[in-house]
Parts: sequence; structure tokens; C-alpha cells
Amino acid sequence: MDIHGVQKLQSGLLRIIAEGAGVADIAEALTKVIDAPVIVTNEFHKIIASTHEAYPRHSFIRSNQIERANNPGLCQINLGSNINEAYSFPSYIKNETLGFLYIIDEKADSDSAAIQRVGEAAALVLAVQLAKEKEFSLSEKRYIDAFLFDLLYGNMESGKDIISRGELWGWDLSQPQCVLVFEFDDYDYFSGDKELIEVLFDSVQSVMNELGEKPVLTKKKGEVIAILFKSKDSLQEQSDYTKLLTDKVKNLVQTRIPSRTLRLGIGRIYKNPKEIFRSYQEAKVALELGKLMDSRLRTPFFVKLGVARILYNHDRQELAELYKETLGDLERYDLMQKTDLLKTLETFLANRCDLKETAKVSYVHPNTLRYRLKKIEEILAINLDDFDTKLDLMVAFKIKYLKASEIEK
Amino acid sequence: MTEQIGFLFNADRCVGCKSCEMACKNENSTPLNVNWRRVSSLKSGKNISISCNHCESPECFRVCTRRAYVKRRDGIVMIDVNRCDGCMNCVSACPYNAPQFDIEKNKASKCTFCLPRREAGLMPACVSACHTGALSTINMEQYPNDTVATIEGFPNIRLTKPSIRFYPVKEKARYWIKN
Repeated sequence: MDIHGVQKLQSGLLRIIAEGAGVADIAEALTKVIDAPVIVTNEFHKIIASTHEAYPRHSFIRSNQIERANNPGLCQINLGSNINEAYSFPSYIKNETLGFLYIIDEKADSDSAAIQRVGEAAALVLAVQLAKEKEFSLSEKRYIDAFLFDLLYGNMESGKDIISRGELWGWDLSQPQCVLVFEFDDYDYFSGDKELIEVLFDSVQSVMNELGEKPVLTKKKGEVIAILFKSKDSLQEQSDYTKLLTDKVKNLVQTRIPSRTLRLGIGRIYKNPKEIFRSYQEAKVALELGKLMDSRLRTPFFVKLGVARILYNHDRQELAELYKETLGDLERYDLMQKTDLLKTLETFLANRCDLKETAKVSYVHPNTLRYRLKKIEEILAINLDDFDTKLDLMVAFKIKYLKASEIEK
Repeated sequence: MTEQIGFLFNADRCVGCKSCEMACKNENSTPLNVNWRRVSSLKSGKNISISCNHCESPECFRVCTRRAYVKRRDGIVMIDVNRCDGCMNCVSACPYNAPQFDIEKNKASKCTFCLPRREAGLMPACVSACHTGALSTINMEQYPNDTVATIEGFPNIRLTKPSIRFYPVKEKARYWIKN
């Protein structure tokens, strides 16, 4: 395509924008002219328009630059098992990248210079449209964010006011609801983690869509917050459903970002929209305590935190003392004799004090386990059949998880 | 819109003069047993000045049964004293002892980030009074890169995510003392 052809294409695309069409129409018009599939992504590589069947909208693509002197813009893009070579053109205004245009190179004899010219011209037109759309969504987001901030921090006094404002955006806030908070471990606000939050947000959104849920979703610093409406009749059913939902999110995020650990917290269900702020704060507490309890609390529901909630706010020194008094002797014995009785006791308690089950899990003969438990009883001068003793031991193990680092100090 | 304002503290510069504490008391006319800002000594020999940190996840706000606490859009956590019934839930929940209980009035109160001064375009009284520049305010969305989230001696920040940053404490240079 010569320079006149490129100019004609550019003015044609600008006319499409002037007529009020979106990015998808630009992509289609471009495909017709150059006879090659194109993909348009936002700055986080999320596809917002595509004319290639293997690259559907709302999915994230990965691109790697291919080092070739004669083809500077050529890169390899992939989505799942699809791998293609494509020319990449960033759409930017004043050094701010708004998105990327990919022209997929499917022909062996394509004229790379012509594609470069067309791509650069089209990327500029796209930048105009993307900037327009971004400004529009930002102004709408500002209103929504302000409302959600007030909602999540209890700044709105009237329940009726909350419900009517929620209706503006299509949310029925009169239903019982709970708040879910998702966060990455060691989130760094200043690094490239912002992009990860975008992926996390999209993952939560796609899982919710898949299950037919329409929650209120928002991002705040390193958190993705979802206000989930109660859809099941009993609390148990709702709890199982929420667990299923969060497991799906976890699995999806794990496949998309395998290098990071996802943390989440779930607040209590409240009927009154005025109380959503409590659910949000509870979800954050559950998230933080869930981190400390680690594997013991796979789905951190605030209601299931139990005694850990009280322990967390308790005096550290007193907790350390209680731990030492309850399990200190056993810890010392393990250290001196190079045994692992503490672990045995922990597994025994974790398996509801079932001898057979514990033996199976620990790969030891039940008689060996019986001998070890007897030894533990001797060392700690306790009776493991006593319920109070079991409770003390359970609390001590919880303290161990909660305050492991501080007790060591 | 939802920018969080916070404090920035440099323990190396704090000389423990308690000017901030006095300025706070003077500005807000708090009673004798109520100290919204407090200066205390650290194990390392340094001093630390703590008030309400207007946390991201305020525990006072969560535990208050009377909905007396609100978090404004600029991040400032405020207490409506008229709603407080003196249950002291917030006092025991806050890791920084920010809500202070007034025995005479039977109500809790706390730092307001000197809201009237802020509305007049002034710095909080404690920050204005700090003559060594140890205490200043920052926008928590754009805090300096060379700061840290906590220093030794500051209560655990994990649960509440306080809106305060610190300059890392440097080892004291002792030129004349040899070990």
C-alpha cells in the first residue's frame, strides 16, 4: 500500500470514529482493507476487539518481541495453545500507552513495510478512540468509586438512599449480601503489580459471569472487592456456594498468574445495606488472619475464624506464656531427643483425635502412635482424653500459628 | 477523589521534645487524661510520636456498635462523640491506642487530623509544631520510595494498614565511643 492508500485508510477510520462507532468497528474495517486478522488490546493486554476466532474478547494475551533486524515490530503472541506471529503497534498519546494493535501475519509473502505503514497509521486512529473511551469510563468510574467508598466505609446513613443510588447502576442492594476481598501476597503498589490486579479483577468477573452472578465489583489499591448477593436459602448452602466460587477464582488466577499467591477473606452476610461496611472490614480481618493461619483455613470466612479472632487482639506476652506453659516441655523434649512428638500431637488433634486416621495420615502403625501419645502424656503430665486438655492444646497450636515469629523472638 | 492522607515520621530527627503532643493538646483543648498524640521512647534510644493513623482498615470503625466512626473520602477517620456510649470497644481494639477515653465525659475521642486547620489550608498542629521536621504529612498514594511501612517498636501494622510511613532508622554514629 502506498502513502496515498495509507492516508485514505486513515481518513476512512477517522470517519468511522466520527460516526460514533467503537474499537470493534475499526478492527473490522481494518481487517477488510488489509485482509489480515487484527487484535486490539488495552494497556494491560486484555483483548477489547478481535477479528481472529482464536483470540476472543476479554481474554489476556502474552506477547514476546522477536529479534529480527528486518522486521522491528514483529512479535509472537499467544493465548493458551494458540501461537501466532504478529506485528505490534502501541497506541499512545503523550507517552501514555492506551493499548496495542496487533496485525497477525498469516501469509508467507506479506510485505512487512506496507504492514508497518498501515499499522502505524491505524494505531494513531485507535489512540484517539481509546483515549475517548478511557475518559468516558473514568468519569463514570469516578461516580461509582465515590458511591462504593461511601458504601464500604459506612458514610451513608439512610438504607433507602443506598438502595436508590444502587439502582442507578443496576444493583439491587436491598438483598442480603456479603463482601469478598481478594489480594495478592506481597502486593507492591509501585511495581508492575497494578497489571496483576487488572488480571485478578478480570478473573473474578469471569468466574462470577460463568456462575450467573452479578456482584458489585471494584478495585481499591491492591484489593479486588466483590459484594456478593445471597442467592441460596440456607446459610450452609450459601457458604458452600461461596467456597465453590472462591475456589474457581483461585484456580483461574493460579493458571493465569502461577507465580503469585492469592489471598482472600469473606465477611458476614448482612441484610441491611447500611451494614455492608462491617462485612468489608470483617473480610479484611479474615484475609489477614487467613494469611497467618495459612493452610488451616483454606477459605477464610470471618464467621469461621473462631478463637483466632480473640487471640489476635490479645497481649502477645501472655499468649507466648500460655504457649510455653502448654507445649513448652514437649518442644524442649523434641529438641533434646531429636523426636517429632509436637508434630504427632498436632496431627492427632487435626484428625479429631482419631487414632486410626492419624496413624494412616502419618504412615505409622497404630501401636506406634499409641506409644507416642502415651509419651506425650508423660512429658506434659496431661490426660489426652480430657476435653479441657484438648481445648488448651488446640488453643496453644493456634497461638503457634498466629504468633510463630514473635514467640521465636 | 479517594486520596488517603497520612503521616511521615523520621525517628532519627525526633528529639523527644513533645512539642507535637503539646501543640495537639493546645489546639484541640483535650482534657488532662486524654492525649491524642503521644511521644514515647523506643528500645533503640530513639523516640516515636504516635497518634491516630487513620488506617485503611480501622479496627475502631469495625468494632463500634454505635456507628460512631466514619472514614471520610480523604481517608480521615472521624468519631461522632454524640453517638459514643463509652463502651470502650474501640479503645481496646486499636493497636495504637488512638481512641482515648475520657473518664469524666464517659466518651472516646481521637485525632481528627486537625480538620478545622486543614480546611483553612494549614498543616495539623503537631506537624507545624515539630521544629526538627521529624513529623510531616504525605499523600499515601504517592509516598516517597525511600520510606518503609514500619519500624521496630511500632505496633503491628498487619491488620489495620495504618496511613503512616517511616524513614528507616539509621544506626547512631558514635565517633568517640569505641567498643
